[in-house]
Amino acid sequence: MLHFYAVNEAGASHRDAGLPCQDAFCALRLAAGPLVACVADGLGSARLSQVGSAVASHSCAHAVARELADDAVPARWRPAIERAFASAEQAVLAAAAERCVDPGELDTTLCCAVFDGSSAAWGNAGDSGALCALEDGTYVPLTAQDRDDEGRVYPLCFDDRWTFGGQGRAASVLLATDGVLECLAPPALAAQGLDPIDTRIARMFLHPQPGDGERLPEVEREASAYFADYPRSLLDDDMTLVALFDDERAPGEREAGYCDGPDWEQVRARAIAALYR
Amino acid sequence: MARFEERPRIEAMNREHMSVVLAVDTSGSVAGEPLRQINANLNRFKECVCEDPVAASCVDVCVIAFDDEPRVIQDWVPVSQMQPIELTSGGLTDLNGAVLLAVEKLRERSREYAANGVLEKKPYLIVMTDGQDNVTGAVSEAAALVTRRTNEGKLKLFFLGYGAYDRTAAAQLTEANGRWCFQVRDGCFDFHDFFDFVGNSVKAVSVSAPGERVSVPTNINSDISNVQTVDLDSWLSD
Repeated sequence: MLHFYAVNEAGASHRDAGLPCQDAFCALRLAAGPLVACVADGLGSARLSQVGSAVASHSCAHAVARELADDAVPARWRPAIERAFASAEQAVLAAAAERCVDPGELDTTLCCAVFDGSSAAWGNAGDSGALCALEDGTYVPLTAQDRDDEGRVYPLCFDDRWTFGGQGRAASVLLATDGVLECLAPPALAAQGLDPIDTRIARMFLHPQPGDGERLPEVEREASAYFADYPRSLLDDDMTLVALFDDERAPGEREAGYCDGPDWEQVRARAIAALYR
Repeated sequence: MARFEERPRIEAMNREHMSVVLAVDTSGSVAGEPLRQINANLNRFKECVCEDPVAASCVDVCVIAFDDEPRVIQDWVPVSQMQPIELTSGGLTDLNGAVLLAVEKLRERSREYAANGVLEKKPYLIVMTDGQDNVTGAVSEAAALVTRRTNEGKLKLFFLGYGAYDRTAAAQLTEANGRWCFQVRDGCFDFHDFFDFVGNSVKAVSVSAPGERVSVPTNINSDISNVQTVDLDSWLSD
């Protein structure tokens, strides 16, 4: 059976300052069976970014749900997500107009996925993203973070930069905003030509444990506590993650050592050497 | 066994870095006390930022001196490894060229961060001058670039003028900031409060969380400080 759990918490500094979490998510079970999930991250400098992320994630998920209400055919998922992104963009613009503010005040990223236990389709705008565990236990990124050559994010309003795709042989899917995503898939790994995913950390969320489906509230609490306790030097951003899985079809197991993760001392040494030649 | 138990094995791999360029006028007119103060305060800037070990590990600094032409005195290093500065003066003032070079150095650093998967906070550009551009004759090219990049959220400019600095040029360069700058009271070359403010700002911002508003205590604009902020629009309208 398909299940999902989610983490959605303000980052430590936002909590200390009494600021709201600027991330949002929406996860639904479609009438035909698959799950649809969206995560969105309001830009830190935007006054109403928490509104933008909520509007984008909810409108996108519900638009997908309406379009796929009676049909579980994977071939329809990607076009539905593409249209849902357009709906989400319009919803954000409308929300800005209602508030008589510049649309930039509600700038947000958006990542969406549909998953039925064996196939996935996805759409992405900005630097949130999605990862997938394949049936054989291999972890792959579904999306790429969209930033310019100086690391600045392209949010939802850059509609010519949206990306979409599909993935077969998918055993689990995870969506996350950039703070959490970069704990699971630190950019430095891809930059050095390594496996882009820290398999040791990501395994906890991509490989469901027996019984997870029966204790989802506890799993959510434990996942939230895990990130709340994450070293602040590595994660001080708002934290959002949605994990989609089928407790009857767990990912397989790769060879010994696959989930050991990278040699971080080597990774850091190479990054420092490259920056300070 | 806890459901989620794997801990990260390394601190600060993903910590955001922050690049800071200091562009300093070393033309003939800053000889003597102004340059002595600049040298002393550049070295204090390092000490100030390094008071916070986290800031010391994530702030990168580049120092540019400009007179007849701009030149890189200290290329990108962690602030903790900034070499002692001992600038000398002479020649004209290529302010336009200095700002263009400074912005290019910041862009270069941003590309290097992105290429290495290192996240970045908004870079700072700090410009100090006592004169006007008497090489190019105008700062319009540099001003247009700084304005665009400031509006794009890709840099923050601190402009300090002293002596008979060109207020029109300062207004052009600070267009995106609302056309105001820092200024030292006439005849005084103690830049202590300015460098304190800049150093503490870098320190506070470099360790701040995404979206966090930071506040830095300062004596600037108080009776005990020789540094003040100047509304250049008001000056231009007088």
